[in-house]
Amino acid sequence: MASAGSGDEKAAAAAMITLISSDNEKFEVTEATATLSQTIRHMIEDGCTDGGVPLPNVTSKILARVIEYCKKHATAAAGEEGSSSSFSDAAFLEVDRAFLEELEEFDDAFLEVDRATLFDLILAANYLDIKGLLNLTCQKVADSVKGKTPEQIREMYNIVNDLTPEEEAEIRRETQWAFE
Amino acid sequence: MDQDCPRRHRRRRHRRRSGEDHISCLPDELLHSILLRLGSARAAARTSVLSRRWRLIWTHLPELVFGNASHDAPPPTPASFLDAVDSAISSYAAPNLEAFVVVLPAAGDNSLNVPARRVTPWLRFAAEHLVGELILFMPRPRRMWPRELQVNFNWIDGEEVELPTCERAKAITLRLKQDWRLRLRPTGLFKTLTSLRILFCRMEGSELSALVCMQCPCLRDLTLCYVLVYASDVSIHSDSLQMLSFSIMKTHRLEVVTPRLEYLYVGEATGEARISAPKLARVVWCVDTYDPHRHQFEGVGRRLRMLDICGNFIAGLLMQRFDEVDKLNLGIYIPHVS
Repeated sequence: MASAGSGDEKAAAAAMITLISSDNEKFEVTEATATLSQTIRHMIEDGCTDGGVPLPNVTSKILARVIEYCKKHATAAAGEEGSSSSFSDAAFLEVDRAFLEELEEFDDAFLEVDRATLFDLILAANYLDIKGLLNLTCQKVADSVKGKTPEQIREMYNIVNDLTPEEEAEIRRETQWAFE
Repeated sequence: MDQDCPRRHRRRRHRRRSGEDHISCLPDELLHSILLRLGSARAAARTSVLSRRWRLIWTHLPELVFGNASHDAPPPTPASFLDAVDSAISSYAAPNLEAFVVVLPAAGDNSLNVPARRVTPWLRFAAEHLVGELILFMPRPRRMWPRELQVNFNWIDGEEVELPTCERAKAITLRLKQDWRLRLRPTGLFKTLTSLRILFCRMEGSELSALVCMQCPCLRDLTLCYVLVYASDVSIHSDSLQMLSFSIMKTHRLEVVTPRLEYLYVGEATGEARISAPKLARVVWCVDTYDPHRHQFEGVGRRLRMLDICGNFIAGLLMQRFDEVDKLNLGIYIPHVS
């Protein structure tokens, strides 16, 4: 039974899915990578993936980055599962820690992108429902805003202040409690 | 909100123009995701002056968090903290709130004296909007009151705060003040509440009993810590309760009838206790007394997965109640010899 089980797992891991970007580029990925996206996972469960999965909201440039993220995180998840049975507790913890550190380094490097790409990644993570990626990218934006004044935030993100001076004064009065 | 997006009217090929406002074009839901990660309702509310698009975004945040100073530069002054919570909840515009967290700054020399009447409207707001978790922490007392003072404190003194019925809340944690009296309405259901933790306050035994027995049909986890129930009986009859942590002073008689209870922590002696819990598997007994005649376990098997006794040797008698324990923890008291 055990060998049959692991054979099935291997077969599942090797199953390939084709993702098609908005500009019609095709990407072959393993099911394990693709199912980090809940959206794609549901499509697979519903048997709607024959002939590829069209992703009309994601460009090839962004999809390539998203796949890079999913591959890394899917490998990490599989590695953790595999190691639990073959290592002693202490060794497992060591491996676990090394994995997490490596993953953290990967995430940091992954976020070294220009702003337009960062926001496209947020939209893609949201559309594809990839929790880890959405969390990572939103946190990056939040961290960049932390401790900044509204003027600094406007400048950083090119936000045009379309409030009249009277409106702005009124909002500042209403939210004075947040500035004190 | 999306109609305010400045990019909407432009053609797609202009998207990559540098200096474009990408962030304002995110849907509200994603702006909320970003603002939530600021970890502070004050910081989120400060974005309301960015532009027209941002004005009301924070008023629909799914979580309001006050008090995590590290996320909140500049830190609020203690007095403005209370006003900030009041103002925020009066501007809040969404019908459902997933989490409402208020952690008052720690007590220092200039510690903030929060009157109970300031907290009442916050709890009313929670009752109206909350569909998730409420956490309310008054400043931690710098020193616990001496036991004598706690037990002999005049019941009539002290302020009252009422917890209104939170029909849709899932978890409530209240750390109040030792001289506050928490009042409960005898009617209304906490229909979806699974976890209730109350620390530092006084309660009426009958109100506490009614709350657990009648008003919380889904309660799984109940923690009562440093709660003073003035010279009365407490009965906890619940078909849903799985974990009970009980540290209540001055109870005459405690009755626990809980068919699903698996974990019991007793941190304060009661005159008499009757515990009927056939599924009980883990017991922590942190009191200096155990008397098999006054503290009765009914329908509890003679085998436990864990028994933790951290009282004195008299409490150790509790071991005799069980024949088999998978894991036994014993606190050992070694008297100081001069």
